[in-house]
Amino acid sequence: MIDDAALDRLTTLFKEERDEQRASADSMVRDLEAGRDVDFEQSFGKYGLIRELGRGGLGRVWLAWDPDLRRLVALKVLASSGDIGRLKREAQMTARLDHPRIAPVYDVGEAHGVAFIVMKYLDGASLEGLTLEPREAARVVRDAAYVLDWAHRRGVVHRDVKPGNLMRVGGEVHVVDFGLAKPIGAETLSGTIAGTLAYMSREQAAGESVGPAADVYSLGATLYRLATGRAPVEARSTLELISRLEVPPPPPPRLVNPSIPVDLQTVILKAMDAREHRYETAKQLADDLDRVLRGEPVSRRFRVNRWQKVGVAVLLLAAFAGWRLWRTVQETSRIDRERTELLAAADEALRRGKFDDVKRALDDAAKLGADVKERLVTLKGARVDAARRVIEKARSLIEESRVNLYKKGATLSETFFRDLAGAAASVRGSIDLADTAEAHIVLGRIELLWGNYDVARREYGRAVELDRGSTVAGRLGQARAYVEEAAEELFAGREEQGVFLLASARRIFEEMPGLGRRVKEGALENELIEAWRFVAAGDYDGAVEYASARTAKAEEFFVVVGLAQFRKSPGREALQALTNAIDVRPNYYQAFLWRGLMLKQLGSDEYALKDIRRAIEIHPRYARAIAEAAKLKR
Amino acid sequence: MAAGPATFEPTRWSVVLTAQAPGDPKYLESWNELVTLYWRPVYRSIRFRWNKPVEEAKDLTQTFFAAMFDGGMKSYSPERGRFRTFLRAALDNFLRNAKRDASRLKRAGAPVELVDDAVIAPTDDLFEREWRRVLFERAIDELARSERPVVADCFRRYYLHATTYREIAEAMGIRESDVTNHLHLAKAKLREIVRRLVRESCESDVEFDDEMRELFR
Repeated sequence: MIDDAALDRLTTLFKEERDEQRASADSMVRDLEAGRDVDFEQSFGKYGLIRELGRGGLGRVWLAWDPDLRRLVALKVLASSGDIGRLKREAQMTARLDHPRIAPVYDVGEAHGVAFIVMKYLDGASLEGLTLEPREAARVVRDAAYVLDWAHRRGVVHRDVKPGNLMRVGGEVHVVDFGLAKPIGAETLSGTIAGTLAYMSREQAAGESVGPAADVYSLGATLYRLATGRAPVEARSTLELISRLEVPPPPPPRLVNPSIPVDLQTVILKAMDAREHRYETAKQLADDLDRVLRGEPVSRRFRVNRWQKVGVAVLLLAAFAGWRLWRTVQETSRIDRERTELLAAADEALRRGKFDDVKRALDDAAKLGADVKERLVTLKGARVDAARRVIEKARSLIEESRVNLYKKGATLSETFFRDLAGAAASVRGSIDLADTAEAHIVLGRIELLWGNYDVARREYGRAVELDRGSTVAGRLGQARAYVEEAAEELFAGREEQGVFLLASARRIFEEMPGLGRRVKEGALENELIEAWRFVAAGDYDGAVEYASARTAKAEEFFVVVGLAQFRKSPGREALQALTNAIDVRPNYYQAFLWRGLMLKQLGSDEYALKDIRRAIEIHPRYARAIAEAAKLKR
Repeated sequence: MAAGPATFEPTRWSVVLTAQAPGDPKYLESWNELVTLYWRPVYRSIRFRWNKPVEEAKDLTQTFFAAMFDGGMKSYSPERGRFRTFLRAALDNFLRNAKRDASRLKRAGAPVELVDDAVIAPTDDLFEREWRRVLFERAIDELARSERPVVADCFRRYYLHATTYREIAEAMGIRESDVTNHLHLAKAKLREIVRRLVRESCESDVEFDDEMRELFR
């Protein structure tokens, strides 16, 4: 079985490969630009392929060399061959678009039975997968909207506007793949352009003929994605996506990212509205975005909501048939009553913290047509708050236990572990309410306190996965868990395991981003790793020297000194070092076990058992100590 | 100049289709292959996402595959997207139903405890990670079969046990430069194997690209 650390290392194999390819491509480009001949491994038509740049909606994109004009180009190999003739006509039309921010098409052709397009190579990055600060997102989309408006006025619709087709080159926004979606798009619906569908207006997805308004929608959807980090429609497969087009619009952007200004939200929603309510031109959208950026009011508010319209419709209906109105009113008042009751029940349940009841009542109320949006938001907030309170409480319990570890006479008895176990259980429960990195960090700390090293590492790892912001805390915790487990293994005489765990600790440490070298080297965890590495390498004098100089920093260094001394010459000095560690941390249960193991090797089984029993007394579930005690009793 | 990019080979379809056709002579074999491939991702999802004790998670995993065998597979068709996506959705459904059944039992007085819906919310990382783990395990096995033992051994020591070049050289009694050579070869070979394995699980080149990008970001 491959463990997590190994899996991470293996995963980087492919990143490494990309880096290597990039380096070799760079040197190839230098040669080409210096006029030297280059032997291409792969070619397409007359074009020599240098390296793959990525994959766009149309297919793979290569950085390639045009040998005739001696320049770099972007060569797109189309995923499906499409209709070459139509592609050529389309390319001719877009070739008329001579605009500095539109990547021009140089050539269209066919090779190896597949169609390809040659475009200007832009040395920049597309916006695919990026989340921008809302104002920056607005700026980018405003610039793109002006470019698109320019093209619309020349009769060309892009049809595939999305983050992946906007490139930032320097500070400028460029639009690529102009007008190419249609000639190739027809048969690509089955999965290939799933990413694209998320940005497609309803009318376009429905296969209607589209004009500039479709691009306006896509610009709005693109802005939604850039500012919120979420595609307006998220689904796994194409079919799901298409069916999603039937359902109500995405949640308002501010619900996903509250830092989006209200006016910006208004603009996004208006750009993504049904066609008759949308901005008519890309310029109107661009102008409004410009107003948002300058802090001026935007042109028009979002249209009246659906419920208001429903209200109007109901009234009209009533005017036509009075008796029906009368019945409707009666029915409505009954439903009204039920709705009100359900909402009151939901509010009451919320006050009592019964979140499941709240959800149920709200679902029922919604079925009766109640607007429960706000209450759902409140519920979500309450769940998050509840989770946070649980985490806070666990934190203070952890602090308390840490203090107790250092308190002489404090008994870390069953009670203590029960408290902490209770805290861990409620934190795990809180993950149901809100799965946050904080919760996993707290769990990691509890498990580490208990000496459950692998569980601790997994929790820390999960925290890092959930939130990059907790990378340092999570990685430090993992390193700590590795070192502590390494110490256990070395004391147990399992050198190989110890070496491996230390190597893992070190690797984590070295790969930890965001910290300067000096900070890393000075970190306690790092010094502990170093100290143990001396022991693991059999350099006991080195270990004693290195660790002795640091015993004032942490009692763990006494332990290092102890084991190194013991390996050199088993005796009093080694035992004294462990005793020193225990003096500093009277409830250092591992140190009791370790001193016990030393005593056992020195032949005093009786004292050994006493120490090991003490370890178990402090930590009743300390498996390693329990096992040793059992061995000794036999 | 050499021919075009090597990835334009025609679509090779995987075991999924034969595993859907009970009449196919390779049916059982393919089915076995599928279960071997996906057992752990499914099991680990149940175990950790659903927070189930080991034995219960194993039981649920078996029940899940049994349900797939009993006809759950029929609802899959390649046009609807990736098999792995389908399997994940099927698993989510299965768990949801299991929960509903359990709460029915609970009302009937049986002592069953299952978690809230929130826990079943799809967190794909775990599944993907386990899938990656399976891929690498198979690839390393294959590496060991196809290359000299010393090559695979170097690779294992370096990547699985985080040993340094020097430590490997010492442990195996070879030169450090040999270690780097072996590793170089092993890496290239392993990438090739992983690529092939991933390709075999995909329907098209485009999907393959997506897979590689998503798996090894």
